[in-house]
Amino acid sequence: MHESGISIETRRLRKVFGDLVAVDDIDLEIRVGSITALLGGNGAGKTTTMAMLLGLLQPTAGAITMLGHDLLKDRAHIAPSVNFSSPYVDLPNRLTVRQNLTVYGHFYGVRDHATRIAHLAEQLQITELLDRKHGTLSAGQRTRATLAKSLLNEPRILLLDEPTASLDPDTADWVRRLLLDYCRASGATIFMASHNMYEVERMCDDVIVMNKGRIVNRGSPKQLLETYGRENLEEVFLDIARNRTAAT
Amino acid sequence: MTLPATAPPLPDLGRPAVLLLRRLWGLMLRHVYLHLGSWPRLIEMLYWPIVNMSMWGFVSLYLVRQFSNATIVFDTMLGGVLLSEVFLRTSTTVLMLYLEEVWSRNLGHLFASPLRLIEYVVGLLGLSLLRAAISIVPAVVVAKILFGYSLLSIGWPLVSFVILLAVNGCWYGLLIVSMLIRFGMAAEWLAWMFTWLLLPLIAPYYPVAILPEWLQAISWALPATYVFECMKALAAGHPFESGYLLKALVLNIFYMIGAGVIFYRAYQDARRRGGLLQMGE
Repeated sequence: MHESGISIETRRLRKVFGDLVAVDDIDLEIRVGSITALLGGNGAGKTTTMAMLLGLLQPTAGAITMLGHDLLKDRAHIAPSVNFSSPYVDLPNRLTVRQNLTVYGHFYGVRDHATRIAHLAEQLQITELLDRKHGTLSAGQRTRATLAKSLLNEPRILLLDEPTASLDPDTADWVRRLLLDYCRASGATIFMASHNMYEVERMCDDVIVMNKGRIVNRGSPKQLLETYGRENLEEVFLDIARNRTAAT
Repeated sequence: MTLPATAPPLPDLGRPAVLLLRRLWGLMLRHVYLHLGSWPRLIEMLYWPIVNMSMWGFVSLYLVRQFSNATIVFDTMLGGVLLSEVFLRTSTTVLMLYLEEVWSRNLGHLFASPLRLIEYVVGLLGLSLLRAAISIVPAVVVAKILFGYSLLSIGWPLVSFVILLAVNGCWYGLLIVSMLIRFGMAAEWLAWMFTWLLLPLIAPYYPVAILPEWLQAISWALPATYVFECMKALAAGHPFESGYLLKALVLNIFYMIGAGVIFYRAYQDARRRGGLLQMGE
């Protein structure tokens, strides 16, 4: 329950595609206001887990509770307080950034969406892009426009899949700072999948490591470094991807 | 970082009815923006009804001039063309508006948002009716200018004809979209083919009796057939057959419920397979 300080909770969450067990009975408890990273190689089950949390994918078994509501039964209550950004989906290319944000402002019931869009555009430095079609933007500009959509409703839970993919180091840096500031100011929970180990070390208080659909380790970045006896998370990631066991 | 002990309660965004209308308005805006920003889409919207009507109009004109007693044919043909466009444009538009989301990889954003499935379907069908209406009006005007034929000459039954054909187009379009959701974009070509599949069966320009007997059985199972039979009877000077329209209404209700159920099941199946994110296949 979120009254107890848990924002996202899964119990024995499982997803099977034919013979492939993509997510294998995972139990998660994500604390309110935390920034948690889901780490793992390709096929570890990160995107499948994210898609189930978004309600886009029906779990084979298990339960998901978000903000105190059962997602599988009561998504309508939760959806206005959740948002996401993922490289696997896109915004309509033929619409301008402003038009896309306006449409989603209506979907999410954002009050005074024009002011909110202007504010976010300034924060994400896309004001001059607002009247350009989404399809004409560079990859980095698209990422920022999609991030603007994901922050539009001031979500209590923000699900991010590779949030700074395609951004140059400078832009990626201030986007991370912006997300951190948002999280601190609003008390929102950020749950993100990332391959960028620097990003995970810098932003996250909690890291969940997945491999072949299972959670194989969990802890703060510092705890994981100690567990694997490594200098940085990049090396930890390689250990996990190559099935090397923890040092302890 | 010190984490808060509890999360703040969920925000009160406003009255549910207002939020519902805003979501539907958002869906409408999405397609209004798309069409206003794309002149090829605007032209396409008007193009096919005018081309179809012109072609069949000239064929009809030729028949009238060759056979002096063929004015019934003229009215039947042009009325049939214009009314079949109501059915065709509605079903095609349902398909096209869905495909716009697939082509732009927007389904994930759409279905993860607070927009509910039933709202999406209602919005999709409402938009299709609106787009179909806009696309047919110029063809009606051109029919009057080129051939002196007025669809309004059908009289008050025209209203019920249009409504029944539009509803027929809606549920048929929804069935085609269900097929796409179930089988993915591999079935896109089939989907476009299916938009025209019913046209010969609903007999817009000729009597159902022309069809082979086994096809007649299929034809009479379709609501649009009753509408066109009624229209042709009126063009031939026969009395208005209200019983036909009642049958069309009952069949439309039956098929609309069926199409809704099939669409829902296709959507749930896509959620199980990961089809909404194009994964799992």
